[in-house]
Amino acid sequence: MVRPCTAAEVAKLVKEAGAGGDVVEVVGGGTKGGWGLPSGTDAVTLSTSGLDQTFGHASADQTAVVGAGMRLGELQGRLSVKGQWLAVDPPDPTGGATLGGVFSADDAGPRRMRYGTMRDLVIGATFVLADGTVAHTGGKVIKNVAGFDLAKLLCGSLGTLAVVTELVVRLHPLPEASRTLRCAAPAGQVPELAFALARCPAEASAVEWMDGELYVRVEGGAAGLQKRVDQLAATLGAMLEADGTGRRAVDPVSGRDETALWDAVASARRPSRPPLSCRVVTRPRQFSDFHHWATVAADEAGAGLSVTSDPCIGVHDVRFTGPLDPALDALARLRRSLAGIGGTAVVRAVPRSVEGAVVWGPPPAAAAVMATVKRALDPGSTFAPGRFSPWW
Amino acid sequence: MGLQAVRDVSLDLLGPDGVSDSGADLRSYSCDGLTGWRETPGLVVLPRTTRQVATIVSACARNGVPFVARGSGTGLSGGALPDAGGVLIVTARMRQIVSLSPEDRTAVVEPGVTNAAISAAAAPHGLYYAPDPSSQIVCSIGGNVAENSGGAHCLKYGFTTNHVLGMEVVLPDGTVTWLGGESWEAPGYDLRGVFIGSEGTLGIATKVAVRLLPIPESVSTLVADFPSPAAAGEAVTSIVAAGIVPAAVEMLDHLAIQACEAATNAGFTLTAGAALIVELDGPAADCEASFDLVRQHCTEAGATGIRVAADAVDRATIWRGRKAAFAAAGRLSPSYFVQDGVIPRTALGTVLERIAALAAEEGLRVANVFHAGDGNLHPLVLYDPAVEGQHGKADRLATRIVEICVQEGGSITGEHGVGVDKACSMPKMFTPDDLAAMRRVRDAFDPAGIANPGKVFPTPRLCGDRPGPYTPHPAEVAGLAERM
Repeated sequence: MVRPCTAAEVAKLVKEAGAGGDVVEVVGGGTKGGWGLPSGTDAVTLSTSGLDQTFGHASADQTAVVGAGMRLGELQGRLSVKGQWLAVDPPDPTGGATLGGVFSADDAGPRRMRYGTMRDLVIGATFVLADGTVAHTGGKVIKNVAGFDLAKLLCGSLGTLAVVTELVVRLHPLPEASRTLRCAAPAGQVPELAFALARCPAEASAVEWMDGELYVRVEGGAAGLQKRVDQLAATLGAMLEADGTGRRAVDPVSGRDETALWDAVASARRPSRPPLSCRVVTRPRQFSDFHHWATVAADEAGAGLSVTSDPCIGVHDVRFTGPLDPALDALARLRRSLAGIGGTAVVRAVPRSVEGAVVWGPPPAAAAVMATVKRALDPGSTFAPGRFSPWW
Repeated sequence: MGLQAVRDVSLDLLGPDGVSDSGADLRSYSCDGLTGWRETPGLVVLPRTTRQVATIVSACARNGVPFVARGSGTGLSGGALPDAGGVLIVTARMRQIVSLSPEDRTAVVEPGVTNAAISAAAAPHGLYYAPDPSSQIVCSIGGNVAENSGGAHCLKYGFTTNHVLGMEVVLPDGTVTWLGGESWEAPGYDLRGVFIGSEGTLGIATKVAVRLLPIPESVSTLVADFPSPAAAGEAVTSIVAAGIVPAAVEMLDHLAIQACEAATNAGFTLTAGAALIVELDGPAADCEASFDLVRQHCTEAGATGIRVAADAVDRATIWRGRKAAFAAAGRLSPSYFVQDGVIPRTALGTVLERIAALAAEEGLRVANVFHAGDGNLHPLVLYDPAVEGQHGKADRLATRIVEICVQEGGSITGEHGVGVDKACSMPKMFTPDDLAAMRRVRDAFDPAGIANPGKVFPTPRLCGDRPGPYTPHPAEVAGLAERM
């Protein structure tokens, strides 16, 4: 394990590793070890934990420059002093995730519905290529179209293109007040509820469905909050009544109970839970198809099933429970069904025994171009080779 | 020779109606919205389908012929400036809305569809497309993708890149593929994010999948008059500090007010030192509370008058006044340069003072229009080409303004793009290593360098022989030559 503290040190280490034919695996908080395939036991682990000192908060400009190794919780704490936050809420139950790690995985939580993901919030980056080149992309201002937006390329690249050493992020004001509505909602009713909620003028900032319950978060100015809560409750109530099943209760939750509720959702989304967790993406209106197929796949394979979903966005976390083999069988069945509607399923928290084709599924249309970009930026395959195998 | 081969392929494919190769026809495509740069293309083609675009691009690749894509030609950085020995591929005939899904809040459209047409098609479903460049009535979504267009409302809603889920593209070797898709997430590298804003140097988008947003329940707009831009800037700072995220905050300085008012009669106060347009949108309950706060902050910052838009018609009048600013500059001066720098918003006062000082030095007037919420300045450098030496002075002033923006930690372009106009300014903002990293990505997509060559990246031919940071050519310093 090496632990550089500056971009220059990263450059030196990376260049030496590359020259010696070594493989470098970049690690932040180590909370997403199972995203993509591991690099093998002889890889040099480059920890970004020493890149945690940079912090410049331009609160009036609503931006901050932050070392990639800073933990997200630490960052949010510092920003909150000025009433701001980086508007991402990825599942981070141990508090170990770093800014750079969340960026490299483009991990996000329920409030992406309102704020987007790291992809939308990072406005500049400093990174080190495998040949030791230290380069920048973007800048320090939110509005900027000068040059290629390489931050987009690095976001979600799982440490395979460069070592990200520093990020510039745009910030949002901390919401003054927040409330969450919860109600029972059978899977069959989710699409129409999601459709109504996504268009409700009260503007929910998160809609999450977890094994039969729906959670709707609304946040913003304190003065207008109650009206918005009422509006959303009315929207939900009307649709639940139309269902005719007698499930009427729409409970508002606030304060500590609300925090606990979202912690539970984050915990369910935590991908490291065995034996097999995967991220499924469909179009929002395909929720019913997706849920039906996941249920059938689990049944036929003899696996258990747990689903947490952002139905307004079409992003679902699926966990097949029980022994590994039936879980893998269920995944294969689900993928076959998804293929017909252009949906994708990618395994997160990869069991060591599983091969790449099972982890990643069928390659995206542009896989060949992605491979070319990887070769262009990392011609010696220094950074986590095989992470996206067999795609490239 | 090569161009002739591409012409033959195009004629076979599109017929004479889809191919222009005669002098007058070609010359009508010689520039985009930045008319100072002109080049007559070798050939103009007007394909209607993805397959036709791919066939033409393949022919270009086989014959080593450069190609440039053009949408509506409203770009302001010369991004669609033709190549004299190349093909101009115009997407104006690709204007079908392929699909629109209210349930998914998405639409798939062809690249020639105008920005405003997407919102018009979505309106019956209570939805709209958020990015709103001032040219939205005519500019095409393909051009928006190429330039990563913003608009007045991008402070709250973001840019093209935040609203496009994926594109079908024709790569520079003629391959057709999708980058991203119609879902919110796509596994693998985010090539869509790199392609958006790459100004046509990585290929041509032939279908664009966009996100649509629900039309906000409530919109409130006001115009506040201030004695000076600095005072108006104070108001913006306190509004932002109060945790309010306006949908748009626009500022006009005294000179810009004169121009806009003369052109549109939008009702701006001619005696004001600055006008601040603040718009809030969202849930009615939120808007009402925040709008009162905004008025309070304006008053406290010294607003001499506040006009609240009475209704949608009144609001449209205000926006027509603002969005006409560039064209309106023609009322003040026979000619002008539009600049597009960005600064950290808090540096506004300093930068305006420096611009005023520089303008005085050159003996020129500068009208300032800006997106005050995000620090995107559009200084209009006014000059008279009939006065000897003024064009050169104005060009130099425009360039110096952008340099100030970079010195203040900002950017050389907030939304107009680099194109050919600012390629030589790129080294002001990026190191040779930064540019080399970008070029590696460019070469990965386009090893032969035939997609919109000469744009974005500084080249010795364009910027003088000396590599590294831009320095004015001696002839320029002597006033004998101009970069424009």
